[in-house]
Amino acid sequence: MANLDNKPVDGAMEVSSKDAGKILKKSGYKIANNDVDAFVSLKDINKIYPNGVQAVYDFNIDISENDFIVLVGPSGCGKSTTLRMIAGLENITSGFLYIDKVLSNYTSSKDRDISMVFQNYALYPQMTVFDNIAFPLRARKFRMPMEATLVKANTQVIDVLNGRIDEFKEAVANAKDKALSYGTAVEYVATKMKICDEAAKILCKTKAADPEKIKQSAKATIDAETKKISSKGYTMDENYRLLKDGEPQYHLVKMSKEEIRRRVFEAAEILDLGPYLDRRPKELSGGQMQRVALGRAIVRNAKLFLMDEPLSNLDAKLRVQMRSEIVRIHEQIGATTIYVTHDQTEAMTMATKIVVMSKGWVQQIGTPQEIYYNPSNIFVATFIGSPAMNIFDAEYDNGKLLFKSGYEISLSEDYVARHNEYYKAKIQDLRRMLDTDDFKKMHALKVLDKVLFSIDAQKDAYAIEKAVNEVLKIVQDTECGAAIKDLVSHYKEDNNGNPKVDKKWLLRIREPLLSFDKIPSRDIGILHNAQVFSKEEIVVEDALYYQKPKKKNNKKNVKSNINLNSTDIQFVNNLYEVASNLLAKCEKALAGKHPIRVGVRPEDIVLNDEFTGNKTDKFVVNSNIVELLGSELLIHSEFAGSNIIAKISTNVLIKPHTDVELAMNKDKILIFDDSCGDRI
Amino acid sequence: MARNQITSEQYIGFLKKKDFREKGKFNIGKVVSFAVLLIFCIVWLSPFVIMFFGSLRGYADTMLYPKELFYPHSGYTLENYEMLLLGKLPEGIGQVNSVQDYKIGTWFLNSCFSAIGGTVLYLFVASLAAYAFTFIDFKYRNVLFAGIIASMIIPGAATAVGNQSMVYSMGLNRSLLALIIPGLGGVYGMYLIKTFFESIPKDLIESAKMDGYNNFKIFYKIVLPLGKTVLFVQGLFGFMGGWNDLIWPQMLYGAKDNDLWTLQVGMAYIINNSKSSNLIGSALAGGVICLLPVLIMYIIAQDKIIEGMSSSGIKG
Repeated sequence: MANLDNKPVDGAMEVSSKDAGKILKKSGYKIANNDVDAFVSLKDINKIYPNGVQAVYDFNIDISENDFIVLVGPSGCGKSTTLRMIAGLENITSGFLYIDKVLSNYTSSKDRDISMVFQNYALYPQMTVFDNIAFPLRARKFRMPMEATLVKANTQVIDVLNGRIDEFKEAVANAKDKALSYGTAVEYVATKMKICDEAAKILCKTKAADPEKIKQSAKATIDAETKKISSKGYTMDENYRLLKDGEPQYHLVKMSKEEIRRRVFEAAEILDLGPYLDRRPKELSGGQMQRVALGRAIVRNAKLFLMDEPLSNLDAKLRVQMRSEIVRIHEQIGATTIYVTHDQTEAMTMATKIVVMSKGWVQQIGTPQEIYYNPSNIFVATFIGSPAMNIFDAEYDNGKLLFKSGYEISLSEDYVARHNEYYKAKIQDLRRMLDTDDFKKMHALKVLDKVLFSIDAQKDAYAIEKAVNEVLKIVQDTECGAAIKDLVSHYKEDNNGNPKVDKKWLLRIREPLLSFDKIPSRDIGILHNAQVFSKEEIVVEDALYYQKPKKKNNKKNVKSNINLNSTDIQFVNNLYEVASNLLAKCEKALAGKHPIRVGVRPEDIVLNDEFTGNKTDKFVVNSNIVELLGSELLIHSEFAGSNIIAKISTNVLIKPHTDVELAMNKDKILIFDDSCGDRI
Repeated sequence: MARNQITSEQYIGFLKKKDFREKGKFNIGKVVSFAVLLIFCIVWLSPFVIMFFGSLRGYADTMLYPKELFYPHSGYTLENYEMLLLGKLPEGIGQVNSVQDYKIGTWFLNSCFSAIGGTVLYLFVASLAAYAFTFIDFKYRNVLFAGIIASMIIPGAATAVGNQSMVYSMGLNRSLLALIIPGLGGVYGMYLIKTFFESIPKDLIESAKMDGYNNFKIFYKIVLPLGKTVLFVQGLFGFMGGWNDLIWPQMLYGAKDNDLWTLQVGMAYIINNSKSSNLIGSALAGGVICLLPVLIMYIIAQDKIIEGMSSSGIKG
């Protein structure tokens, strides 16, 4: 812990490899990056578990101080893994984590100065609430100002003997009534009289029987101590703190009992835990246990709070109560917090910034308002908001939305312009993507594999020749093009110009194609979403290569462990296919009529008679179920081939199984691309 | 006729009522089972009864007047205990085939040392190992643990000679430490403790780690207090094992001078001695002396033992 004091090394500093070790050791193995602006910064964080499962892909976020970040997503989306990586409970596979500008990938969790609240509270059952909250304070040394304890204690003793002696006697009598042990009684008296423990100890020991004598000895001690202090070159201020050249001096010490008590009581006051301090966790209710866990986190004044689904073990009413409690505490102490939940309501109500995740990918980062009103894609739109957004399938035709039932909405010019712009940008982006070496290689591989795995190589020499020529044409501009050309021509020369191809030769051509540079994670993310959020069912394969699992090493299906020369490898990744399909669809979309998905929030479906704003044509649905939620009314029904939920105010009472005239708020309609789920 | 018909529900109720009524009545099955249990109980208790009352009779009474168990021929006497504890031989005993003195006190202390010291040391070592295997992620952990578990199948007797020569070559051939050290590698207790540790939520350990505790501190501040019951049970097993062990101390010190004997080795000697010289009474008294500490301990800690056994899932 001694390295809490050390100053980190500047990461950009150039050092010789000889000195590097020394410099690092001197700084306590801390490296700072001054280019990082944010308080906590995650850069390209990836997590691959030892069994080859990738849980988090390219997590990027900058968190500024006093933020309340909520990671939200369905279960298994990698949010808890991310939190545990920040906490230091899981290794980071790749990427950089900066906490307060210090590179923290390799520091142990205790040195990161963070505190965490766990889902099932992680209270120590054998300790009382007080001990549980005091636990982090007792664990380590803290940087405390140096104090002249003896002077302070003896001054207080004299002070008490001079006028507050009755008060002291009363406190002692009280302690006796409570049948406290000697040690506890001293602490009790100290707390009651607001004096330090040492002073209480002196007083309790002598029982204040002979005040004059005690005063004298106290004065003598003070004199001796002051001399000692000044001989060491310190001066003392009015709070008994030691100063050197006017600067207060600090040292690393274990926290005194008094300080611990003060801090625990402070935390208990914030959390209303006063009456429960001497109980054990067993005797507490869920909400109280949760508060104790929070108390344990806040008592240390850590830089960063992490909370891993802290409310999911509570019942609904308590959850709402604790939600506001946590927000209140956050406002009160202002610590930066990262909060993980699967409950979108919690995310919306608590966060200053929400991170929506799905299957390891970050889908959107933004404030609750941004996320709610401008979701970046169809996943975010349907995940956030309760009841969920209504999604309809429709066709887009030059500014018009045609629903299956024949209903029509003509969009404003704004929408049309945005639509065209979106697709133009998308096409450009995809063309750039397909123009990179890696995608060309994938294309070539696809062509080659078609002949390699389908027909007998010896039989159809013409098809192979054709395929090889095509491959050559595709890869001619890439960096391995020359090598492949060389391979092909070299072989031809050997056979006097007569092509006699076999499988071995094809495999040799295939070899250089199998190595990829790093495909930008953003591109993979786009293609991943295109697979997951499109309606067509494509097999999602996240790994680039697939090796037929052998019995021996079926666990090690990790990229680096694959022998590329083996014939067992099949290139199954369909990134090229997905990209080219997407491109084709986008081009088609710009040309004319194409399918599209329309999203409308339940509160934006309104009663035709009541709403006076910019609305669409009315449509009539038969209300199947009507739910009364107090201030609102939910109408479940069917429209244009899919379910529809409308949320309207209770001014009008609607009975089930009646026809209702509804309309949509035209300004709030969201349209999503059908093939990749992005919002247009 | 319809009035006499009943539904099946009523019939079941009727049967139940009948059963209920019969509960208070004479039940042949119960009587038989009670009788059988009683017989077994008597059979199992009788050795203890014979031992206890036999030890209070004259030194040769058990042999000469076996039927007079509760009405001793020569009246109740403590001469057997005097013989063992004070070395005072009763008059008219004739030639006693005694080569070595009975040093019950020394043997008792030796037994205490081996049982208590061994148990405490073993608990320390085994719980540390269990902690490491449960909470620390080190390389080849599972392989190592599998190997250790596999070593359980080797019977103790098979390695006894090897252990003996090892202990001797360590220079412990005249030290009581030799009783303890080979037992520290025992697997069963470690496995028991590990199973219990696995039920401790990992959050507790992770949380303590984040607060800045190192592994050893976590071990004795959190894991040990939580694992009290299982440590108690394992401690009891260890104590019993150490107290009752005969083969190992006999192998080590049986042929050496009797200052190093444990109570069990001494007992074996007393029994051996009594067979040839008609001192059955002294053998019985020795049995009582051996039994007493364990019995007292059991009576004191009875509640805790049952609680610990039920909580750590061991069936007696």
